[in-house]
Amino acid sequence: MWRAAASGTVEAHSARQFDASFADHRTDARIAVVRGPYAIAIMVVALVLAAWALGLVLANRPPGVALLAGGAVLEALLIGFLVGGIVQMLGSHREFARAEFVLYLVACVAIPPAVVAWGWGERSRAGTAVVAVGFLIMPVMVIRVQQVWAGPVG
Amino acid sequence: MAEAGDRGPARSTNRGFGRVLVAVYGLFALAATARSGVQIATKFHEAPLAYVLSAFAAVVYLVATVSLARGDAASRRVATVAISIEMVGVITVGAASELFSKAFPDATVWTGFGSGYGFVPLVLPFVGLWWLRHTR
Repeated sequence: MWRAAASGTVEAHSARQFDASFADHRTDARIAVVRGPYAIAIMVVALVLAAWALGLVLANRPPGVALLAGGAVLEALLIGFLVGGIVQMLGSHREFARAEFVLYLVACVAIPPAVVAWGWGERSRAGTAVVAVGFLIMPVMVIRVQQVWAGPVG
Repeated sequence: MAEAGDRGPARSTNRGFGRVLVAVYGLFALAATARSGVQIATKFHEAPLAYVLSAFAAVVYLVATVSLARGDAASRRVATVAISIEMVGVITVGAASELFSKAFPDATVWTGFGSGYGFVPLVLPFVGLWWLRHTR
């Protein structure tokens, strides 16, 4: 539709600009780490793990190896989020708060190990509750990453 | 959590529910530190007051986190002071950001009583002081 309108010189110029920004978005869509199904997968996994952990809290159980393994899966996904997010950032020409963006991505990777280590230190359901809080915060973190990605200034 | 009190005569602030509280304080320490760090490093001139307050909040959260996590008698006093300052801070900054919104062109953790963080910053100091009383 835009290509059809780009017959005159003025239109051609604006169409070229549009194509440039469109190509940027197309690249975003192709990699699609920050806003695509990958981010949704992280949020779903984190919420499932949080629900599981909260169930263990209700069952009065200390944090166990199975929950740790679940946390490792989430952490692997988050490392992919960090790498993919930076790759996507470098491929984009839009203006947004890049330092903040990277900081949020790094925080996403740093929080689960720190929270799990702290929760592991207490062999009661309180330790499991700490792990649950750590999992529960991750969808919020992913959404913050997406907000910084979308907005000019977070 | 009942089992927190059964762990021994010294009711430390970092056991049981305190374990969760320290984790939440730690997350806010991280959030406020990172936020103020980015704000001050990249755009300090845009809203100096807000960014200085962000940094102040970060220090308060860091002190509260560490002192609650240590849990000895001296740390307990430090935590009480830090969390009291936190309570005054979130209420004062929250009210000021509503009344004089022009003075706060950019947000801090405490702006709008912590509305950007699900009002957790407003609830947290009350829970913290309650916990300090509860474990005394």
